[in-house]
Amino acid sequence: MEEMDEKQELAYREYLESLTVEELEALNPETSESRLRELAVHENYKVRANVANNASTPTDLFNNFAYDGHHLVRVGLVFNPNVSTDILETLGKDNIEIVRQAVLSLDS
Amino acid sequence: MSKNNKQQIIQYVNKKGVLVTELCHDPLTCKKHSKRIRVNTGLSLSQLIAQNPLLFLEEETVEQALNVARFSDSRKELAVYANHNDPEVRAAVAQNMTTSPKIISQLALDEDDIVSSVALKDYRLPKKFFRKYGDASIYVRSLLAYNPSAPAKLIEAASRAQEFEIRKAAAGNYKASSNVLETLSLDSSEIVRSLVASNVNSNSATLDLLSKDPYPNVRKSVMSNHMASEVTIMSLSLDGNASVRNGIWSNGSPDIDNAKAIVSMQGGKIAKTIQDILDSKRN
Repeated sequence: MEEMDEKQELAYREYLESLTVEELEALNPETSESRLRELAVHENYKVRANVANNASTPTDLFNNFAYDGHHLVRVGLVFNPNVSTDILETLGKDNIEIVRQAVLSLDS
Repeated sequence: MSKNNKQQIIQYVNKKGVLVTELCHDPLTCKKHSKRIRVNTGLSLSQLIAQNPLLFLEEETVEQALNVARFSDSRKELAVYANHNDPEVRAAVAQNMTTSPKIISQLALDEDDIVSSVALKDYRLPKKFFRKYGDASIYVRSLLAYNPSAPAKLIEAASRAQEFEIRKAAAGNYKASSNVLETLSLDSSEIVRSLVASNVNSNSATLDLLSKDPYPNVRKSVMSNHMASEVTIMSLSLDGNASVRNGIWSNGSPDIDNAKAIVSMQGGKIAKTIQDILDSKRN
């Protein structure tokens, strides 16, 4: 994480430590493709959000995430470096403001 | 002085400030030095100081005096050290939690700025001091405006002061009211606004307003303030400035996990750190 002081780095690590194993696996760019596919349909929206955000997630899962029932999953997808402009256009019209704001923040 | 019969001539200044020369007969108290002060066998160091402060101050090293000033739990002893020649010792007296309000008042008027600044910010400063010196120099007024024991009227007046230093002090006062902070949130100085944004007495409307401030430091202060609403924090989690977003890691609120997830999603993943934590959880 960029621009963090020592205390913030410690708090960030504490945050990571508070996550479940599944949430961490979903966040980890080194998690295998097969495991990410399993986690993509996890009942916990935080796990799905991390998979949606993971740069190693297969792109064929993106459409499902774009229509996920929880807005945090859609926000996670916005910040995935491999997301297409088509999907971003769709998310830019999302009915939840925080998702639309996330798309707008990419321009700033 | 004769070493054979272990008598020693000693000199000290008595309570009336008169230099006294005496012949010491007690070998236990004469010890090594001709000007040694332990004449009164059996008395503790603090008892000796209480009996004859000037004597002690003359004989003691600054390091020893600092030690007493920092750790003494005797108001009488601290009152003596409040008059010590070394400003560092006097500042230590001002910081000692046992020091009386009367001595804090005395130190607030100390000629040394470091000593007076410590005392002027101290919550033990009596109310009458604020009344008496509320119109003093900018230096004194700004430190009084920062004091948590400052009367509400003084803080309110400080928030409207022309001098930036005084408004800044009021904005940083953790006893400032939300109304005062609301006024200061519109201040022309971003430093003042940033202090309002950090102040836990700022209400959610004030913090929401400051979350849209053009200065990143102001927004970052809002992000770190645990009194900011979840909506405000969520909005700042998408701030274009990484330093503002990372302010969330200094926010102690337990209800901002989704915002933390969003901030985390925008940073580079530290694969090794995540793997380390995963490994420790699995073991």
